[in-house]
Amino acid sequence: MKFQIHTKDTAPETSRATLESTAKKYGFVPNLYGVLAESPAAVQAYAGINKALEQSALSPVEQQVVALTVSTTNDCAYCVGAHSTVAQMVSMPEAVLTALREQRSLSDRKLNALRTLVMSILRYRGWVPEDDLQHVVAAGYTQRHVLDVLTLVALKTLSNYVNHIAHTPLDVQFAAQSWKSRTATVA
Amino acid sequence: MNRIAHLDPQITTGPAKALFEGVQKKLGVVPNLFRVLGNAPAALQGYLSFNTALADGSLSPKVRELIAIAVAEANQCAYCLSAHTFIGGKLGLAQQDLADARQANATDNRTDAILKLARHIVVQRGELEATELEQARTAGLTDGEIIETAAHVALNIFSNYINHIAGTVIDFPEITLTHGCATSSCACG
Repeated sequence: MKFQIHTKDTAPETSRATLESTAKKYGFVPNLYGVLAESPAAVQAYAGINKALEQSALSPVEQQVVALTVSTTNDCAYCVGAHSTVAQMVSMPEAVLTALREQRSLSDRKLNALRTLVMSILRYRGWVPEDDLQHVVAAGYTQRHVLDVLTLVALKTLSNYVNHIAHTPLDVQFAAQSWKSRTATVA
Repeated sequence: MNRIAHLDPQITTGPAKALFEGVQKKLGVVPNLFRVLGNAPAALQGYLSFNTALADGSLSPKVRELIAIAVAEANQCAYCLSAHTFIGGKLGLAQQDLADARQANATDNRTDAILKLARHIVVQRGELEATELEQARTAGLTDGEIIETAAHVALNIFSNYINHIAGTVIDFPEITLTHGCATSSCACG
């Protein structure tokens, strides 16, 4: 039994405003939002965190490094396709995007520290070893950045897990960036 | 040991100040989790809007606390376990119900199904078996409630992970962790 992918015409009344503003922002309603809309609380939560992240101390490229690392590690093909597209929109260097999609380390030392922190957070479910935390501080990140990373991890946990549960199909708008993992990397 | 500063709302300035005042008005105190979040306006605002959106959802306040307890136990977050056991008690939940929730058990069938779904989502990182999804639906959960439960899991993972990284000092009656980790890769030692 499939989960419904809503449009702003089929969605529960209280989800419609969120879908309309999403359509305005992206030019269409991504399937993730269409699935979340079945629960007005969930779609509003997702949009609310996204809005809060406009105040993030992380640059748009750094935010996409985090989103892509979470999504590849959690093996969420939908989210990798969507965030690869967004990464191109915010001009992430092509070499960085390719490495992230292939789950390889990054030659940019600072971005790689960010990627390493994210993998450590997921692997240890938040129990990040002291060395990993020191590593990201040495790369120039602060407590504020670390909290912003955790906010993105929460946002992507919501989308990765919902997409796993609902088997959300990739939108045609993201099809050029479709992705398949070689192996799931988290036990 | 705390690894991220716990801000004092009395002397905080900037964007966190107004958010702290909102928390103070709503809860009567500013718990340490929020004092940690205050170091990052995006994180504090994100957490508050996440909470507010789910508070308007279809799951009752009591069920929401029970989910938080089940997820905190699975992730071995003593701070969250202490906070949500305290809040659950204030909402009138029996001590036995609060204790049962740690193992994702409830006497009410529907609540029991929600807690087990939440625990499966945490432990399996969202990758549910078809039979697990079917059990949730058989217990009467709608697709909207299933998605909302996943959102609660994400919200609680947010606070669990923050507390793990920050080493947030527990400022609720402390509940100690007694059980082994539910998750294979837990590094809580």
